[in-house]
Amino acid sequence: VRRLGAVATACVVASAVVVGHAAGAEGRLAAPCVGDALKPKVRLETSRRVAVLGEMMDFVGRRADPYGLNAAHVETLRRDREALQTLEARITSVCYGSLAEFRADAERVFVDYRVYWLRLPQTYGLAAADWLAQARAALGAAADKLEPLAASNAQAMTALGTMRDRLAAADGRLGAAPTPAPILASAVALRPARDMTANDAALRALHQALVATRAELVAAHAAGLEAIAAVRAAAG
Amino acid sequence: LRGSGRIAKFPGAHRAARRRSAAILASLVVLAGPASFAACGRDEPEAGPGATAAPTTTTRPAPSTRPTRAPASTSATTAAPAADLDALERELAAAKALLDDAAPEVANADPATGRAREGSAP
Repeated sequence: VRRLGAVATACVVASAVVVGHAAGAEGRLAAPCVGDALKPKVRLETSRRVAVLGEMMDFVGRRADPYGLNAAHVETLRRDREALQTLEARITSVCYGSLAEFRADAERVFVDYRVYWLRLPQTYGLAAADWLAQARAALGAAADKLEPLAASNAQAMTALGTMRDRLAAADGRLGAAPTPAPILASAVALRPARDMTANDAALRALHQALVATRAELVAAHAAGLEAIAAVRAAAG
Repeated sequence: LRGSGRIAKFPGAHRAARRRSAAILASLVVLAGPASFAACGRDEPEAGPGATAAPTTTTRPAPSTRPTRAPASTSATTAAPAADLDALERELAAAKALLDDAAPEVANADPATGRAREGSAP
C-alpha cells in the first residue's frame, strides 16, 4: 500500500510539472478566459440589436420617403448591423486576458452604436415625418380644391384661411417636402456618442417638432371639415 | 247599393252604379241646362256636350298638375358642388388616417424610451 501510494504521489507531481511546463511554454493556454461568464449576456444584447437594426431597415425601406432621407439612413443601419455582427463574432471568439480588454469590446456594443437610444428614435422620427408629410400633402391638395368652392362663402373662407395657416405652421416645423427642416435633417445625421447629452437634446427637439406638426395638421383637418360644412350649409 | 255594403264586395256593381249615376246626371244637365246646373253651387267642371258622354268623374290629377322636376340647369349646379364636397371629405378622411398612423411613431420617436432600453456593458 505504501509503495502504491508513493507511486501515485509521484505521478501527480510529475503530471503537475508537465502541465505547468506546457502552460509556461504556450502562454495563457491553460489559464481561464476573463469574461467568459459574461459573454452570453453580451451576445444576447448584440444579437437583439442586430435584429432591431434589421427590422428598422425594413421599416424605413418601405416608406414613401418624401424628404429623401431614408436611403442614407437605411445604409447607416446596414453598416451598423454588419459592424455589430463582426463585433459579436470577435467577442465570441477572443479569449480575453483581462477584464479591461473584455469590457472595452463589450462597451462598444452599447456605446459605439446606440441602437436604442439613437437609431430607434431616429428611425421612428423619420417614419413619423414620412406619414406627416403625406398627410400634409393630402391636406394641401384638399385645401386647393376647396378654394373655388368656398370663394363666395365668408365662413368657409375663414375656415380655409385657418387651414392654410396650420399647414404653413406644419411646414415651418419639419419643412415642406422634399426639403427637410434643419431639425429633421440634423437629427437623422446624428452619430453615436459616449456622451449622448447633445444627441439626446436634438432627438427631443425632433420629437417635440413631430408632436407639434401632427397637432397643426389635425387642426388643419378640422378647419377643412369646417369649411366644407359651411359650403354645404350655404348650398342648402 | 252603398247602404247594402255591396260596393266594397262587388266593385263591378259599384262601377255600374256610378255609370248609371253619370248617365242620370248628364241627362239632368241636358234637361236643365248648364247654367242652372252651375247655380246649384256644385264645384264641378262646366259640362259641355262632350262631357255628357264621359262615363266617369275620376279625380286623377291632370298632367299639368303633377309635381314637376326642377329645371335641369339648377339641378346640375347644386349636384356638382355636392359631389366635389363628398370627394373632399374623403380626401380629408384619408389625410386623417395618415395622421392616425403617425401617432404611435411620433410617440416612439421620444428618445427617453430608447435611453431606458439602451443599458450598459456588464
